[in-house]
Amino acid sequence: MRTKFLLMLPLALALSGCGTTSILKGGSSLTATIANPVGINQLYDIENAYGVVLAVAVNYKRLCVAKTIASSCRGVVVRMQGYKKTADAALVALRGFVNKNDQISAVSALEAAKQAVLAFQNSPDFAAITYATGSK
Amino acid sequence: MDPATILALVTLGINAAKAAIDVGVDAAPFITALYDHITSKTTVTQADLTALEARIQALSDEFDVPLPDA
Repeated sequence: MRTKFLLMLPLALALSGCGTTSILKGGSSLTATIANPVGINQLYDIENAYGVVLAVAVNYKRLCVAKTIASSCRGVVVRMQGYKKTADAALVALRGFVNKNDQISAVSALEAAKQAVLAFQNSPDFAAITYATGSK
Repeated sequence: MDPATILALVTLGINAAKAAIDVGVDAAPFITALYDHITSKTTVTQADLTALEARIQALSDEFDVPLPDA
């Protein structure tokens, strides 16, 4: 009976998670920690990417408000504000999951945030910023 | 930040800067955006994240303000 228990113990520890490396995956120690798939490093990366996109958009808006560029910029800014709302919501969700260390939700939230930032960055209106700012 | 993301963002910033120069306005803000946000940090602290989120919040607030009447 004791032998059976000792044989089962590593399996139980491996399946229980608790931030330990599974010996079934070749971990060197039962107490070694594994990195969470989504943490502040991943959050920082996506927020930085969003920061670049947002900074470019803000600078474009400043040019638009100052009437330095073509008046068609007004429609571009309004439409981009829509994309931004989606990206904001995705990032807020991701921040929440990372803060709570809810890894299962954080993985899908990270993907959603990446897609939302990319949608903002790759929108046709954003292309208008980078390629068609000219000709007042 | 992975190389593909960096490349995409640098392209974005450079194109925006070029477009600004084409219409005779200051391109520096577009380059500054890259300088501020593209990082080689491999270990991020909570303070780094808090500072970044504060910068993003400021940008976000400015962008959300409706355009003044034409």
